[in-house]
Amino acid sequence: MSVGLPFDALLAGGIVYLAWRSAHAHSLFAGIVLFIAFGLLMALAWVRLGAVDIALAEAAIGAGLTGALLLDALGHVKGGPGDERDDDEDGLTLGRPGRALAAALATGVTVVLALAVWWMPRGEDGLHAAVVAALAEHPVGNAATAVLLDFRAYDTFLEMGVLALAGLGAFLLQTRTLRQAPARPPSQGSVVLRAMVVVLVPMMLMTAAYLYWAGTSLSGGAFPAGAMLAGAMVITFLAGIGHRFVRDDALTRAALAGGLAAFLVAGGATLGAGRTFLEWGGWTYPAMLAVEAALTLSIGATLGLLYVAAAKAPPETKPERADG
Amino acid sequence: MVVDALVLGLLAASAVFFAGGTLGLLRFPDAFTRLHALSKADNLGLGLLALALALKSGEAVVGAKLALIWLVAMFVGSAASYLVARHALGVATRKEPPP
Repeated sequence: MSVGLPFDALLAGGIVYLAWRSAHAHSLFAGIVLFIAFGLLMALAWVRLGAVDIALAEAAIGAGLTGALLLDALGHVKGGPGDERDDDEDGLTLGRPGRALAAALATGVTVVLALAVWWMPRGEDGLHAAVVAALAEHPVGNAATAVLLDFRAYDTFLEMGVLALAGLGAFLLQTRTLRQAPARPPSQGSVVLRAMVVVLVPMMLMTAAYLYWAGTSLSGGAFPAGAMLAGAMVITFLAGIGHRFVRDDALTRAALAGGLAAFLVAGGATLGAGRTFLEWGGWTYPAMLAVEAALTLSIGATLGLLYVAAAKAPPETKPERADG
Repeated sequence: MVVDALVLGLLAASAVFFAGGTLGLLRFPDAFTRLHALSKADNLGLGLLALALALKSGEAVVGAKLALIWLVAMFVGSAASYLVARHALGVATRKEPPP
């Protein structure tokens, strides 16, 4: 369509400009806010490229959850409300050679990526024909879900291992050997925040369930659904009623390990049935659904734990009683 | 034909409101006035945008979804504005802000 190219050019220019401004912001907080805006423009770029599943994951995880993590980290660094130290005082300034090296590395990576995209097989070359043929007779309609959980299920299995390690690392941050700078406390369990939780969390849970279920034929799948669950965890924690999430007990550990365990059990079952590891065979649809359910819960728990494990818990608030 | 003209008009009005909100963000002196400009103008801009897109699509289901998106965005925007203003009030007066 005729408006395509100017819009795409504006979008690409906006992405580059926002990235530059985010790196050169006058304060860390401004840099983080610009980074979140950059993430949203990236999600739009993914939509323009036709990859709606990636756009959902980018908006939820890249812009949303990462932005929340960065803001929490900023709270740890600043050390308390009203601490408006100049950001240049931390002593971590790069000199001329440092900046030249950073610029060279960034340019090099960009050139490599551009070449990779340029030399990517187009049209009917490469694996495209094989994938299209396999998708035509696949019980699952969404190409991304079919690739993630059937054609390249092994990659997703390893990814779950990485996520489990990340969750473990988040818990390690809670040890007392680190110098615990108090995080800037969230709004002390404001009444409005709790009302927000009451209204939003049921909607988020419903949307997560819908994204999981619709991921088989429309855009969605385990990762956006898990990110939605993580968002619900974070907002419940910020309202002061999510202390359950920070406790390190059997349920938390089970949630962290759930995705990996699901893959191992399913893979073991396929091995026992005489096929190769994670080759679903005739059980494709139910196996994918079951593994995806475990993945959604595990991804949601791990991403949420990445936030709450290091954040300082707001004071436990009891709902106010109406007196008199 | 008429619908397209209406959609274009609504989109233009929405753009005007968003631009006005951004202008307020850039030009107003402190946090409270900026929040006022943002929440009012952007909510109305989003409503006009949702209406324009609903008219353009012509389906009732899409219109209902867009209306729901607008309502949720308004709700979250108002709550977030309140929380930001509460924090700003606490910093400005240096005592515990109201709940």
